[in-house]
Amino acid sequence: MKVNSILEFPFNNQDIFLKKKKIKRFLLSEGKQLQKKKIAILGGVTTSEVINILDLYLLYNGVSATFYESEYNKYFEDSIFGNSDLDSFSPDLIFICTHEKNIQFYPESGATQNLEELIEQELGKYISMWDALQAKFNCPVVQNNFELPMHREMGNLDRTHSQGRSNFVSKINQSFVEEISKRKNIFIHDINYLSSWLGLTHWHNPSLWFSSKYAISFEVIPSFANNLSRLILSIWGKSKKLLILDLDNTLWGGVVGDDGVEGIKLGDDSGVGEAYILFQKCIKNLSKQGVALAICSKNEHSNAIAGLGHPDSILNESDFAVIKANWEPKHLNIRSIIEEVNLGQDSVVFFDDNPAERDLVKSQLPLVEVPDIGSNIEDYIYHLTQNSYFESVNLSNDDFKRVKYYSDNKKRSENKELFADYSEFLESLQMEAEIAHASPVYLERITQLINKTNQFNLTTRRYDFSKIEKFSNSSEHLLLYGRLKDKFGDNGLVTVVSGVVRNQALVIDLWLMSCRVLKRDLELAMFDKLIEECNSRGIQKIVGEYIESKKNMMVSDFYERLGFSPHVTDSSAESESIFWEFSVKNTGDLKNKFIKLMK
Amino acid sequence: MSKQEVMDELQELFRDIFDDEDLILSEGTNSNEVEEWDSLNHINLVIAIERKFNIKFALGEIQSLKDVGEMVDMMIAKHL
Repeated sequence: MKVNSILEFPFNNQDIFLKKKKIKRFLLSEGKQLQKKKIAILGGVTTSEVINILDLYLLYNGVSATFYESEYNKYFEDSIFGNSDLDSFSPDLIFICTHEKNIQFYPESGATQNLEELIEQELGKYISMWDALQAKFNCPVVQNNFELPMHREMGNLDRTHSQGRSNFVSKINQSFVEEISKRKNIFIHDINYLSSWLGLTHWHNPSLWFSSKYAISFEVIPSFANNLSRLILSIWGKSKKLLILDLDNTLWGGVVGDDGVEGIKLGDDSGVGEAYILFQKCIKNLSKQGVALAICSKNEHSNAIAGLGHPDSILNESDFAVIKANWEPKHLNIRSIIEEVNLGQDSVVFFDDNPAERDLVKSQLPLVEVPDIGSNIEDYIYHLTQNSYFESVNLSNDDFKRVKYYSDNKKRSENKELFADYSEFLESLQMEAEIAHASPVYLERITQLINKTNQFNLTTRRYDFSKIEKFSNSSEHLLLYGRLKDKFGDNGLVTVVSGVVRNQALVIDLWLMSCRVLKRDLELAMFDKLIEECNSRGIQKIVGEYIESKKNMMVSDFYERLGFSPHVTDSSAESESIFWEFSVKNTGDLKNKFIKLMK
Repeated sequence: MSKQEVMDELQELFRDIFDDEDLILSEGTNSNEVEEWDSLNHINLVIAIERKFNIKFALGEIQSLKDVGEMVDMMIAKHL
């Protein structure tokens, strides 16, 4: 059961309501460690379904709650006069679920009333409840503030006139802010914001109110319950504390290793670049509030640092407690990041635009939150803020210093990871490749790939379209391409190998692959195909060539890893080239084990 | 939709709401026969039906439904 895609923003309401009992059973069966808590809900409205869904969100975050639910609209009586059931329940936390419908002292149109007095009376009711509950139970109290009413009887004047209800709601909300600042244990659940964000026409449901006294429509209950659960979790110190981020197409547009620092999209000169800036600013502010940041990116370390050094970048190298930019599988990197900053898996959120990476991390590190952020930069910020992962009940100077603490506290532990699970991951991707001789329809894409790939590129030779076309028609040349599909979709044409037959040997002048499909063994499938080609043409030997560039260090030992041995160069060779050779044996032993080949 | 088609889909929805995979729905099924069919679950049911069949019950209609047969008749009357 993919509970996270049901319960997290954007919430899957249909499944939440229909499958709530199944979801609950699933969450209880996972064997996660659950903390037991008692929560009293004192409602001014019907709260039954709110409690059911809140229960799911708390379970999802490791809290198994039991609930006391006040009789309908008995929140005031329960708070002030007590109740033997509530007393013996002895709550760990109390939630006062009142809404705009519960406001008693709204000004009446045309009457001569003193607005200040009305506010005093309304506020006084809540203060007396908070203080009575504190005196008796001495536990945190969460209080809804108020949403705006559905209708404005005075139109625009409703906001500014002393008898306007919108005006009254905003004044009461402001007085709540002032009163709770004098008290330690009262927390505001900001439904005023939530209802605005969702829209009042979605929030209010008159039919539901008249038939069953629910103050909000069912469609907003998941948002409500999620927002409330995050506040409650944060009161209990269970907010997330570490945000791990991918780089390419997550913190900036494009691939820094291929496009170069000057080529990535970041900054106000393009719409996309501007959106990345906004996202980075949001992350920077979280960091200032005490959220630790780390990088986990498939990149050369130097490229990652160069990208963060982009002149418009809001986030810089020093903002991150740990930076893992290498070619190891991400779940291993994340595991060691978590160890270095000394946190639990359940305090970590991971953001990555690549669904395959998300799936890997989710499956290997089930307690890490991995939201499906999609691949549109303008949406990322919603997934970051609407899930309220990093909720904090108040911000002290300590929080602002905490980031440094994480950096200082790094433990330089040895990487003791095992790679046993990675093959299972590759298996799970259900990869299929099409590897064949270049046909005319692909020549344009092949040319494009040849001219922009920098990292997995053995020689970085650039050829133009006419040259590629010539290769594809020549019997001495071999021009192979590979397309890769996996369960997440089609990656398209992502790899090219070009070679020429010379003196009974196949000399590879070009071998490149897009970074999108690194560590998928596609290069092995290409190699198998090369062997097959050699066998069918009676070629005995493959000669590989490597030319070092600023960006292709990751393939410096590529031929060696494939089992090539050093090749003695002849005088005509380019001086910076290093040659390798492989003698083709007709063993039929395939290197690729995870990718199915399509005909 | 025919009455039978509505009944079939409704049965599936009842099974989810009442978390009972063996629940068999007939036209005579009413709230006395299904243990958890109280007023709160009645609301859950109505909202789930509205969403699934894309129809809207008027305020008065919701409270007066006696059994499943009546419910289905009303749904079909809403141009299902």
